[in-house]
Amino acid sequence: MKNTTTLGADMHIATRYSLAGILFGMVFPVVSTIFEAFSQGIPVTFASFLELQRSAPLLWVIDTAPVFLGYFAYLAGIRQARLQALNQKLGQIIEDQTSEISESYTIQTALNSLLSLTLEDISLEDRLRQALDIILSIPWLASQTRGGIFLAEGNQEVLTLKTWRNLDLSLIETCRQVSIGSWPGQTASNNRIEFCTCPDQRQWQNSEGIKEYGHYRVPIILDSQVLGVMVLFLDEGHIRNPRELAFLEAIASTMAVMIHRAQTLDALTENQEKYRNLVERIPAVVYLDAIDEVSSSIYMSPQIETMLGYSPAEWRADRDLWVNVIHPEDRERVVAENIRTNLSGEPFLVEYRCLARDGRTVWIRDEAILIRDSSGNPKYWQGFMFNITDRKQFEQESQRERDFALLVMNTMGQGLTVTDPEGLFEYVNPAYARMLGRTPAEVIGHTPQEYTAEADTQALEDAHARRLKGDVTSYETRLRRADGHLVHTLITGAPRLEGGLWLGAVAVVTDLTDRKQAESEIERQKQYFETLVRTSPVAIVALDLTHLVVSCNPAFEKLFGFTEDEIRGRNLDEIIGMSAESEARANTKAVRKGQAIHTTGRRDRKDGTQVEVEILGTPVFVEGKQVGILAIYHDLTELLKAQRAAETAAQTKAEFLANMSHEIRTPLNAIVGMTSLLIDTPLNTEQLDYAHTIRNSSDGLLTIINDILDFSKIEAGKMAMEKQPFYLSDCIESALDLLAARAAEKGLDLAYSIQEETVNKLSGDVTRLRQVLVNLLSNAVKFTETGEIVVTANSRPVRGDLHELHFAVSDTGIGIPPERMDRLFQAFSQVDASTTRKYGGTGLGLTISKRLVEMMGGSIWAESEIGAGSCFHFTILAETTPMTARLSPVGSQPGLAGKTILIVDDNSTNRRILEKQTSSWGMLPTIASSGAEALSLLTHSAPFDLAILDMQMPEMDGIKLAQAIQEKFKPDTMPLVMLTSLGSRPADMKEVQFSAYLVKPIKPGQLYSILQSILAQRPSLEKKTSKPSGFDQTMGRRHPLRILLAEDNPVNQKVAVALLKRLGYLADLASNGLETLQALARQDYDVILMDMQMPEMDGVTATSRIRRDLPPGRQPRIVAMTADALEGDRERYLANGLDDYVSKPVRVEELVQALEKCSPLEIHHVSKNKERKKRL
Amino acid sequence: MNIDRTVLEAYRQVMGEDTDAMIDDLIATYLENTPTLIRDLRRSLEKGDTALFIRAAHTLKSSSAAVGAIPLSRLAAGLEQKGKENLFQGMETEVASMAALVDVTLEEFITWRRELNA
Repeated sequence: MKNTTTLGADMHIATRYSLAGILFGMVFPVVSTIFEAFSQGIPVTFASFLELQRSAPLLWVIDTAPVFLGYFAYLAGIRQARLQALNQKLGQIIEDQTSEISESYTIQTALNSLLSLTLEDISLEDRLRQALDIILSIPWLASQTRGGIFLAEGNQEVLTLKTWRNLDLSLIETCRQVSIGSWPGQTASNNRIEFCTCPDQRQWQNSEGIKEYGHYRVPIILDSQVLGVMVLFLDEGHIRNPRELAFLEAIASTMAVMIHRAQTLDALTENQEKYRNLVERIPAVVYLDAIDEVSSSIYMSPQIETMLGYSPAEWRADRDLWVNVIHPEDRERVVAENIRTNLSGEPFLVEYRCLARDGRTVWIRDEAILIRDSSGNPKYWQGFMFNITDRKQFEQESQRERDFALLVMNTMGQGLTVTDPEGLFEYVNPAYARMLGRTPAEVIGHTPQEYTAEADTQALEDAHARRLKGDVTSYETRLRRADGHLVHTLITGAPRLEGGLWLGAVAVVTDLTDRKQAESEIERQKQYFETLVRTSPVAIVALDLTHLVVSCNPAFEKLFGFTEDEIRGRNLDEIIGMSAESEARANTKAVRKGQAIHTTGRRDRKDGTQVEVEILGTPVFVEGKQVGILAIYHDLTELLKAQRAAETAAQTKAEFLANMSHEIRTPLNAIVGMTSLLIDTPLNTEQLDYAHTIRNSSDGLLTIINDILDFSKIEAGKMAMEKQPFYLSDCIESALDLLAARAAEKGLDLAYSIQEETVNKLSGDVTRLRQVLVNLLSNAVKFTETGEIVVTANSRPVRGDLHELHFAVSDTGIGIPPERMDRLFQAFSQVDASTTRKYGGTGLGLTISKRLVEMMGGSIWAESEIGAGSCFHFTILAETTPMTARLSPVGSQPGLAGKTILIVDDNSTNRRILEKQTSSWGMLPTIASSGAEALSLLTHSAPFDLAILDMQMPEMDGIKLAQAIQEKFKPDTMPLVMLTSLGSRPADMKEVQFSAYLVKPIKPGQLYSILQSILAQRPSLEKKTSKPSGFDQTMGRRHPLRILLAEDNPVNQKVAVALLKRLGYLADLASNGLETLQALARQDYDVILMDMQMPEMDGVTATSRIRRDLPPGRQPRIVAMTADALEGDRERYLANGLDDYVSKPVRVEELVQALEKCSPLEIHHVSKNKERKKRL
Repeated sequence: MNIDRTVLEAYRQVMGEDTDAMIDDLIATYLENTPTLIRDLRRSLEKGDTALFIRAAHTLKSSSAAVGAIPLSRLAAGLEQKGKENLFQGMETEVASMAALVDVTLEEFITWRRELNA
């Protein structure tokens, strides 16, 4: 058709061209005519035109132009038409080629896409799906865009439709899975791309209106294996030529490759997964190491993390990690082995410890072998690591247990033997071997029978027989030692049975030698004690825990009248304790609880009478458990009778003494009193002498009677100790006071020193203590002709407030012969009868002192040397009570410190005491032992601040010395203090001026006061503390006073006490006049603050009593506290013996003023006839 | 106000920092003892015991004065005087009013104590 069209078109074009040529040709004649016209000058008209035409032959030529031109144009036209037709053809060809190319290109693109699908990492089904899309998008195949791909599965038995596009559902369902032999498998086996009209009409019957059942089946085959079939629904004959067929084949083979590869990869991956899972789940670490120097890790399974806590990545990253993880102790060994096997290529097998990341120790079994390639070259190390910690632990435990068992067996004291089924010793421990006197090696392999004593072999056989039956046996037997001796043993044996099989026996052998010895010893002792109990004169009965009689001895039978058989098994309390039921029951209860009781009571005899008995009940303990009770009864009848008799006698005696005491003392007192009165009356010398003798004798008699009465009171236990507060120094001083006179008479020096730190304020019986001191002092005075008597006291703390005081009274007397020393404290013994006659006395003094001292918790003893003197020591226990202001100051004292003092005394003791005391107050003492020495000292030095001169000195007495000193130094420059004995009256005192007198024995308090008063009058560098205008908290320290506050009103009491405390005083309290007097009886006070309106005894009465009863040296300053403002009252008070008054309520200023006016009790100088008070 | 606090406060000059403790102590003592004295007064009237009456009144007078309970002290002084003059019959009303005053005074002291211990 094209050709005809082309022809027509050709003509068309030629005609057009020729027309065009003709027309164009026409132009030439026209133009030339016109030109001619112009040249002829003819106007251009049609007529002219024709004219010309005829005329000009040239024009005829030109008139042929159109014909020629037309013909040429026509030719040109035909040519053009032909060119055009050629062009068209060319174009067509090109188009065809182009579409072919593009088709090929599309196919190629599709093939490329399919190939690239091959490489993509997607599932096979996705691949197929995408492949189908690619294929169906090829325009050439896309006429219907319907198709599907089947895959061969199930070992090539079936084809499964994997993917489809635009297929009928029914089609899909029926053809989902078809066998290879059927549609469309047939094609597959043919290996040809076929068009098929689908012979099985049955399948398509239901699908109406779809005429395109026809489809191309494209088998997908690789290496003659059918992988699948592609089905494309196209028109029959769509595939026109081999080229297109070839295209489809190319697609099919690409698909084949793709599918095959995918399947292969999948299979590979699956395999890989399988193996990897396996490797990663086995309970061991799998690793691959390279064979370089450091065996760097190629692969390390994840189990390494569970095993050691390091991830595979960490392991691979750090080359040294393995070595570092190995336990330090194993490292060397493992690394060495590693190196060795690296070099030799031998398998590596080591067990070692690693330290996991968390610090655990893990035991590893590391095995590796060298993997070689086909040529035998090493490729890599393949290894496994197993965690064998459990096993190792188990091994170690087992070892430990074994070691322990071995230790036990080797060290146990009992013998242990193991015999085999034949009865030979398989094992014996050292203890057993020792028992036999052999070594284990000697014993093993022998039989027990060999070592058993002949007499006992039967027992052995019996035991063996029983053991064979499976019993555990225990029997005693004797073994023969190597040295021939027999040893007594106890053998306990058990059979070794395992599943009914007899494997021998195990036996423990105990050496009974000790036990046997012990048993015989026990038996021996038992015999002794049984004899003891049987023959004891004391009633003994043994009871069990329920208080039933087990046995009793003959003495019991005799005491209570029951026989042993009668009482056995019966309750003891029911037999003999019925009349003292409750008491007996109480005793029983106590003993049953484990207490021992010791009491007396009354028990019943069989005959109904009762007997007083001493009862001892004691529980019997064996190894901490009570097993029974022993009851012991001792007949007290005789004892009680005697006791009662003694008591009655003592009672009688005490009553007698009490009566007599009064009866005896009364006339004696009369004698003494009367004699004193007599002495005071005018008497001549002779009469005075007689009177004195009478007085002395009656004094002595009184003393003796007092001693005797005291003694019997003590013996009768009627002496009770008081407990009152008192000053130790007071007590000692008052004791000395009592003897000062007698000592002075004999010319003896009395001195006392209380050591520093000795407790002073005590609570106890001051009277008794004084009694002891007086006794010792009076003995000292009695038995000393010349010299001195010194009392010393010191103390040491015992516990809390309790102190032990130690006193010593030493004299320079005649001494006590050693043979008499032990009789010293016995009653009624004097050293010898002659002493009694010479010295008098009852001989009771020391005994009483001893008793008193012992009652005060102390002891008494004596030391003595004939001709040199004696020293009596005693100690007592006493409690301190809270201290008030100390009597004598301690430590460096202002006012005295730094002052120089000269002490002149021939008595070294006195010198020492004075020196010690003054230097303790901070003074600077210088001592001289005679007047001459003192004077020589004074010639070369400045005067002292003060001097103390002893009156009685040989060669130059105190008076003469004082005179000599005062020739040089005025009393103001160097005041003098006279130290004198009591009773001595110095003559010729006129020229000498003493500032004070001190009486021996020197009392520190007095000394202190005197020194203070004397030295305070002198101007000194120290600033004298001025009188306080306000109040002075140091007053108590500066101006110490013993204060008694007598006030009944509690509020006022508290106020006064608080104020005094603030001033530094601790005052004693009395609530009424009576208490005031009682307080004064106990000790001295410097000042009494006396409330005037007190109940029971008012202040005035009390004051008058005090003034009347107390000796002058002990008179306190009494300050009235009165609320009354009446003038008259105050005057009355002062007239009645009060020294001062303060108003109530108490004000500090008044109190201070009143206290300032007080001074500590002044010293007193007492002589026999006169009392002299000196206020300093 | 039945208490003159200046009486006890005056001790501050002397006692310094211990004053509060001392005042507390004194008040406590006074609180402890005063009811007994009132009881004594009453009993003495019942028994006709002049001595006891005078004693109790006297003590009350001095203690009260000491702690600054001046009205009470004066009242007690009056009673003491009457007692001494043997005019103490029919003193029940006086004792009763004394007791009332005591109650009030003690209350004030308790308050003061609380202030001290706060």
